[in-house]
Amino acid sequence: MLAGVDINGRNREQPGGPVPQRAVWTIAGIFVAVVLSIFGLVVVGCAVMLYVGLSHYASNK
Amino acid sequence: MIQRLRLIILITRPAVIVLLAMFTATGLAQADHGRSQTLLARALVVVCGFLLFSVACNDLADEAIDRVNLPGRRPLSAGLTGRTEFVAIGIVSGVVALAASATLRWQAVIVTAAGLVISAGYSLRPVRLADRGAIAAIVLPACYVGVPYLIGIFAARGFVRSDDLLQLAGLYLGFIGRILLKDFRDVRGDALFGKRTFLVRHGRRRTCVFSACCWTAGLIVLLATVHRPTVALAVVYAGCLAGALWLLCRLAAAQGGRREECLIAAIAIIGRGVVLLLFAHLSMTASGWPGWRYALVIGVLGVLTAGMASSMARHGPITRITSPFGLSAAAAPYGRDCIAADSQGGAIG
Repeated sequence: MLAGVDINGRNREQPGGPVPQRAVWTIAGIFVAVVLSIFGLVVVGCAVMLYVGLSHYASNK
Repeated sequence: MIQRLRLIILITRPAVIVLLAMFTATGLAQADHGRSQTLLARALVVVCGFLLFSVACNDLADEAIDRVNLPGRRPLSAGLTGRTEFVAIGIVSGVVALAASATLRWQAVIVTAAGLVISAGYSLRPVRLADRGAIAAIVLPACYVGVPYLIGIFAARGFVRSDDLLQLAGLYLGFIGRILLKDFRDVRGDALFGKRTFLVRHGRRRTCVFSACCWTAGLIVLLATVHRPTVALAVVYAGCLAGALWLLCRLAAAQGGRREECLIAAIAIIGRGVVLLLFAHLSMTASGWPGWRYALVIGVLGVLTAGMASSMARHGPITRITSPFGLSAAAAPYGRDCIAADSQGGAIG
């Protein structure tokens, strides 16, 4: 078996973590953004959405 | 044409523009206009122009350094665009920023003009503040926090109060704590080209200690000066500070570029989370949200921040492998493939 690859040939060290884990945070962020928008804080909702969306990528700021 | 527009979007670096937009929105919320989408849109035109100008100056000045630090990851150093085009982008965006600020208030024009001058002085010779170690770490955050925050304030009213400036000081200190860490990625090229950054001068451990001091001071100032502070906000901020300090301890002992990248990106997530929490707090208190609903939102945002930072620290960032440019682009394949990922990274300097 190759290093970093599991028995099914999938990459165990996937950058950014396993897709389901990333998806959980993304969905949670979208949910919070939608709830905030429904209650009138549309700009805060958009900020949450962008914050969550970009937090999977490399950034040093 | 579309390719050119995509290039301009990549130059602005989405992660950086989102951060600057959050500072702008926070300034607007501090001036009790956090829900005004029109004012925010007008202020963001100024901020986008300012950022494009800054990036154009920086990329033009650092073309040789970027070839070493970020091989193929900057449009100019990768050969995807020429210097003339970059100069044109810089001039046009600077003019747009000034013109858009003139539609707000004269105070906004002064802030924008000062920001453009400092930004040019940061990157371009003969001033070139970027080569002057600690001064660079002080000046760059002043531009990237002060300009958008004050534009947000001046979009709503024509004066600043002392608590506005104290809050700006808190945001500024926190940003210094993060901006110092960007030099970890660039240390090789910086040392090679004699760029005397704080990290090059003082080493890894002292950089992390100084960053921790800035983080702590920034959060204390923010909590002390925020309008209508709450227990929920204080608890979540304390958690953010604890997380950032723990990650800085790990960074001080980390070995390997990939590990450093994971930890620095996780610290950056907490830093952006702090700004987002402040913006949400100001917006909710201005809208008179009931206590339990307010506490729930602040708590959920705290959990989101902690979860994403933890995930980033363990697994690192995802990388995009799709190229935003056509195969005909005159650049090395590595350059084309990496620019999308780097544009998300959004480091300037």
